[in-house]
Amino acid sequence: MRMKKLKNILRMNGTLFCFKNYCSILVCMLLISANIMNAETKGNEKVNKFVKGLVRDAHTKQPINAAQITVLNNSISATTNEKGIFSLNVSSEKEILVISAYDYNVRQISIQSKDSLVIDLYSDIFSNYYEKVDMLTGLSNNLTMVSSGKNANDFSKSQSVTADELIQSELGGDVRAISRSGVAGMGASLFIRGFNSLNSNAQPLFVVDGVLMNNLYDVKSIHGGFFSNPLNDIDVSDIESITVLKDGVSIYGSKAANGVVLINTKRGKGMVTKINANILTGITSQPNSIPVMNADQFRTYASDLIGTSGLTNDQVANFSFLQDDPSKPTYNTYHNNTKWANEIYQTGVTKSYSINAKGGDEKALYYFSLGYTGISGVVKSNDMQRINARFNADFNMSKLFSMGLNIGFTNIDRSITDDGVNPYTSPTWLSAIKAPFLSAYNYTSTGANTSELAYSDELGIGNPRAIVDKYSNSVRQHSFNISWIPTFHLSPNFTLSSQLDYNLNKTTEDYYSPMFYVAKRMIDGIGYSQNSHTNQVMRNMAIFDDTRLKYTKQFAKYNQINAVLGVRYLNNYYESDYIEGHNSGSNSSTNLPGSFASAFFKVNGVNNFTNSLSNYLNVDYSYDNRYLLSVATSVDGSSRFGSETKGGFSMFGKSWGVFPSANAAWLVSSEKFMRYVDFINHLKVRLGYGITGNDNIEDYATHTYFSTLRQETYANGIVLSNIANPQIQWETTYRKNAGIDLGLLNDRISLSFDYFSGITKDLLTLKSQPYVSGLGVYWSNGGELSNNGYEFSANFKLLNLKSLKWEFGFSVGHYENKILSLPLINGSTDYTTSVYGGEVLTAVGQPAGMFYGYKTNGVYATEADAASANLYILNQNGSKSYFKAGDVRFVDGDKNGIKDGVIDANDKQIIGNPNPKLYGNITSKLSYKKLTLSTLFTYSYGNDVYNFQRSQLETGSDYSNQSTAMLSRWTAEGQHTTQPKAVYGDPMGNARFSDRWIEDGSYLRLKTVTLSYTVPIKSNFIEGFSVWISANNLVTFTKYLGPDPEFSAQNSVLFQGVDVGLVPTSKSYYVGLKLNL
Amino acid sequence: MKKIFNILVVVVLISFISVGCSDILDVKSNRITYENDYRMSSPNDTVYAMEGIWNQLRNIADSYVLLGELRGELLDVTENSNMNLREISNFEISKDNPYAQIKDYYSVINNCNYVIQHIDTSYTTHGQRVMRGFLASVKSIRAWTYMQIALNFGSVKYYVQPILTEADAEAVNNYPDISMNELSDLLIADLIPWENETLSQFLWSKSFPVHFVLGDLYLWKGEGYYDKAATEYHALMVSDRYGIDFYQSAWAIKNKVISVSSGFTTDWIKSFTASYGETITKIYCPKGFGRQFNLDSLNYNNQFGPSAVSIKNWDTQIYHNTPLDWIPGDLRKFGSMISKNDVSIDNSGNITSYIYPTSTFSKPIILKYLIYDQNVLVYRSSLLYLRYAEAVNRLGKPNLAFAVLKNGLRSATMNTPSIVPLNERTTEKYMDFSDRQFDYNVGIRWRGLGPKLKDPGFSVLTLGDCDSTFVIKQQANLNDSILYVEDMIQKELALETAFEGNRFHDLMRFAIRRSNPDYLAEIVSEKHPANKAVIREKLTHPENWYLKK
Repeated sequence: MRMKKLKNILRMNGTLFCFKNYCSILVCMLLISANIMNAETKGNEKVNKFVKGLVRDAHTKQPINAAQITVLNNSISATTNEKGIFSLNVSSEKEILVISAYDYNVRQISIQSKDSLVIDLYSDIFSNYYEKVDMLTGLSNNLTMVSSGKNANDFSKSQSVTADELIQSELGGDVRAISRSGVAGMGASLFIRGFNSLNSNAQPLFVVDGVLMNNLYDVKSIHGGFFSNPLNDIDVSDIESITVLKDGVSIYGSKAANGVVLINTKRGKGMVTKINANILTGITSQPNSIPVMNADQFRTYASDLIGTSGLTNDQVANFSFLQDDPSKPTYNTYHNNTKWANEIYQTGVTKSYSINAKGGDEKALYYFSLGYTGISGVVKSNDMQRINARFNADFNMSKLFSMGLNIGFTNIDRSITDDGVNPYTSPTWLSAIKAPFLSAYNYTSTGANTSELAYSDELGIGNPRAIVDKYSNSVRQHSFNISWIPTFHLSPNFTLSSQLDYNLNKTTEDYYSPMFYVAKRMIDGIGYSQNSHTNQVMRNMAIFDDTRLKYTKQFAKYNQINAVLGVRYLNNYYESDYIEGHNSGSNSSTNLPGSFASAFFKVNGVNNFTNSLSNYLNVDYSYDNRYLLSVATSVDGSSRFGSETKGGFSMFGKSWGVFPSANAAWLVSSEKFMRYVDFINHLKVRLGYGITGNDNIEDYATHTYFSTLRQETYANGIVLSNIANPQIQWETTYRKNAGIDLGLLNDRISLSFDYFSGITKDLLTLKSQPYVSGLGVYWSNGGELSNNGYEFSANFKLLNLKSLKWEFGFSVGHYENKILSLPLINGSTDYTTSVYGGEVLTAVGQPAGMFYGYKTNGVYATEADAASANLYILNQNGSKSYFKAGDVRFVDGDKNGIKDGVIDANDKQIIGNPNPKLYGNITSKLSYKKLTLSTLFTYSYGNDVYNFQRSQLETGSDYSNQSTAMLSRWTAEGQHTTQPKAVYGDPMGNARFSDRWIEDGSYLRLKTVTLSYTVPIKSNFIEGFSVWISANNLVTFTKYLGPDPEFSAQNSVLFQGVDVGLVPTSKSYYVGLKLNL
Repeated sequence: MKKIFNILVVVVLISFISVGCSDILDVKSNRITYENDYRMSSPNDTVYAMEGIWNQLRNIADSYVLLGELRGELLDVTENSNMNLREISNFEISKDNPYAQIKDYYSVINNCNYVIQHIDTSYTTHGQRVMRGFLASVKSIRAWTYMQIALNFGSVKYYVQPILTEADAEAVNNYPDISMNELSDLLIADLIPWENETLSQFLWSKSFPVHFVLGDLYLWKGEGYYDKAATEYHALMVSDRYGIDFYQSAWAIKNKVISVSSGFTTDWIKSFTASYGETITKIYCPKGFGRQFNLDSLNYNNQFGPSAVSIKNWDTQIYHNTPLDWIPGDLRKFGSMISKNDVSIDNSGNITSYIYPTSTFSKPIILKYLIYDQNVLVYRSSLLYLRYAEAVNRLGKPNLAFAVLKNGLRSATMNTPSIVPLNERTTEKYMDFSDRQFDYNVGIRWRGLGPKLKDPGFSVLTLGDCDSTFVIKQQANLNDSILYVEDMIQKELALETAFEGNRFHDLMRFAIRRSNPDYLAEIVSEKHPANKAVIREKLTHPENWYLKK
């Protein structure tokens, strides 16, 4: 009989799996399982402890009727009577009871060999401390490792567009999350426990419904300042839980060094049909910007500057803006006072609707949702529309076989303009630097204003209004995902499941920079570009399979084992096609490639296949629920690994990495002696050690290959472009962790502290090839860095009155990053990287990302001051230029301490550190009857910022508008000021990368305030109805001079703390409705 | 328990085995070609690799020109010059100077090695073993490139098997450095079997003739090899019918001014263009599709320009149309440089219109580079004849060498004892200019300075007189005459082939041949009036002639 069933399964299996490789694995697994089934033993539970108790409300002390009491890991359960009394037989004296009741939070209580217990439950208005957490191998509620999870109730009143925004607001102390910009859906850069890489991806691995997501880390958008965030494909209202895992993630071996974030979407859970509708609408106010000069101030500045430009009188006379005769026809053109920011910013509007239904019967459970999000941004003509649908189902085919099915579809359309510091095409930046005496519109020859948009001006700056009005560009994203999850319940102990997933993500970007409205620009080595059209299509297709054999067994009374053995296979294909043309000669003829000049033509693309395979085993062992041990190992292979790696072992011509981890915990509060320490309700001590890897190696680095080079349209040549490095391997991170969890004073206070210490070795580094190979650089492994730090979180139930309840919490994260060693390249270990006009130092003994530049000490007020300092710079032709009055006083102090009088590269030193000393959030939840007021503060302390946008607004070297700080520029002998004089072209380099642009980026921000009200409706039809209003970014305390202290120019480690002037986050206000049917 | 454990071990092993047996971890791409998938068994396959080599050659083409000329005395930096160009001009070239990247040269070598190793020369179509032509052109490219490495960097690491792994690269990196002299022997042996092969041409590029490269190698070998050099150069003149043609109709001097005629631009200047029949070797460097061609934009942006020395060289000559109608200056000046204001250049750097050059060269740019039209010209007919002259002069035939400048090599010249004296008339093959293809050869200097220099017996022109002042001045002995003529050749190279990329190496060769570094130091330091002594001192040490690797 059993064999017959097995044959059926095998047959099914054969048709379902097209992977030839997996058939063999599954067949073997099944055959083996058959043996095990015969060998299985029945657990005989001996009851040896009788316990009874009282369950009551923590405030009123009134008994709670019909509370359910279960035993951790076991099926034994009981229910309280109307007096709140229950009694129960348990098998262990140290058993943990799990008590749940309607309207109350779950609580876990250890029996501690007591015979009777009094258990107080807290209202579910408070956050739930004992909730089960989604882990890599399933739900768990007694963990050996630190994890931070949040589930759907926490997100229901969120106006976040993407999951990474949620992580920032909900898990602030666990993850260092930095918003990329104020543009909706751009998400955040996330760093878990410091920087675990230098040159490779340092972002965590996202696992969405069990499927590894490609975060497209190094994919560059053609739109300036835009980031194509794959997490934007998930509607937040579909998310059931988000869990951040920092250690014990070795079953994701070579992909887990930066931590793992698990995102699970909602599924049908019960047979009752539930319909849930959410409506949200909100406005976003025009963001702050650095204040710039008005028309008169700028005219004075520009006139000053002309005086320093060395132009002849004839040339100066060509500047029309200097004409001050109102009778001249051009007078009106040059005598406006335009607030350019008002021309391109607007109040943004967000609308979001989602509806979902779940329910089912014994045969099948389903969850279905539809969502729409429409956002018109704070920059005109920047908007986003997202439509998403999701269908998750679970089919119970038979006792032996069940099946899951997940389908998701998302479509995102954006229109967009360039963002950030870009003096040609970014309307936001142009609005800062455009001369305020000009108008967005032309004047007629008689001086009458028209509605015709003006062309770029005589100062070489385009018209931002024309760009937002006429030429927004587009991004279209489609993503489709389907997952099929057959599960075979082979025996009570064994479950075999497989998840087969197909994921397609396609992004089409189209970019046009118009003629006339945008100033023409010089492209090095090619010529002047008047207009340009760029198009990029990117496609990421992933086939994923995760086959697992699960084993659950309780034996010899106290022992519990959960084991998972699995094989994971990921086949990822990424393709990108890029085309760029310039100078079509008109704004109406823009076909690629036909209309464009061939000399500027550019095509590019990649086809990257990546295969990776992981064999993993995870065993959780628990003795009496007091002593917990979790051991995991994965053995990973990848097409990216070389065949002769040093860190792995070789088998079948491939190299394999081994990533073990062990985590142990002791639940001290279950011990008998703890019954005498009654102010401690929960005490767990945790220890862990694990090895993980980072496999973000450049594809094909292990191969010798040719690539194609084009000679105009005539011919293709192929040239050797890479030679094999068979030693290339993953970066390896070794991390220790020690932690303690505490529940105090009847669980009114909960605390959690973790100390971690990690070392990452084999850092992926670019090295120079020996010149005889004819090639430039290659990836190799070398160097080490460490991350040590702690995380602390605390939660207090401050008030638990009848109607008034107040909960307060905060979290603190801290890490110390240090580079321990670097490979010797060209005779030096240390190097600098050029970052937006600045320089970032990578040096042994220092943290990653240090700003490296000149120190300054004010401005020379008088010629005598300057002469006494007697400093100079060396010009290209070897002549000396001495600093004069009005120039910046750079500090002359070479590395070796010698003051040589010349200000040159030897005078550079460390001038800032972008790593914060502390970061985290502060939360408060105050509820009175049906009203709840939630507030969230986020903060970062001790991080330095390179204010690149200010550095570009205070150069005093060209005809772009300047910040009002430049009003106090040095203009006359003896003037004491901090701003140097304005000189065309900045010959002395006063605006060079120096501590003038480094600022303290510490801030405390009132990120969100939400007031929600649960409308008391008694209806058979409506189960719940709540309305809420919320305000974001109301107050920010900071000394930072830029518009917003929170930004992240790029994901990569070396680009942190650089403010490149992306649209900042601004105040926003939302109203939302939530309806449960 | 034990049983279960055993089972788990088996499962893990099986998953490994299934992986090991299949290619589950192997990946392909449509955009790259794995080395072991690319073999050249037919012309269709080979042409891509050949085009790839030309693609790599273009990476060193502008550095060939800039290293060859900016280090010489004819091309100079300007106030607009960037640091890289200044470094070259001042002999302070840093390692990261983009025009001194030795790896770019080795990239050509390694790609050539790959083709040479894998090309299937037995392939036959229409009764022709066509792949031999491919192989010959690759071998000559490789030899020329090796020669450039040795001349620019002082020595080479010589390898002929392609580097395909990091380990290969490390191994080759440990090879000994060999000198130009040792290298020449290896390259000569490698090239000789291929010297009569018809080379394959690609696109608008023109290959490096094996004869020319061999001739150069022999010339660098020096004493004892001059006859072989002359033979190679002569063989190329014969096989590919290269001559020195005359375009009298191209211009006219009337009343001591150059008359404006379209012929000036289309015919005279044409003799320098890359599309002209006298072009022997050129590297096609088109822009577009993300490729740049630096020489063009550097030139257009006045990042370099003709030196005062080169202008003086030309201006001290006199161009004669007739003995009475003349203008000061060498007409080759007008083919070599131009005022930026006299040409219209579009955004891409292409000439859209050309105005007749005025005598005031404000912001002069190099006309040769413009009319090369995104090509780098390496060898042309004039250089071939001048190199021939250099070889035969050292064979003790200064009058024959001189005839290359003044008279043109053709049977009439060879048979005129007043031009080629009897004692220089020998019977080697390289002395044979009897073929009718040579009948229109004129002297190179004659062509640049006008018909007054015309030799008697030239039938096309009847006007004018032979320039009786242009002669080999009486010398004490043959050796002095040879040195005298060699100086004339050196000066003629400056007038005729200025800016074309060969100047510094030519001077090196003369100096080495004479064991006199001062020869080079004196000429080059003329360009640096401000710090002449410093540059001169530096260049008297031959180790400073070479770049850091």
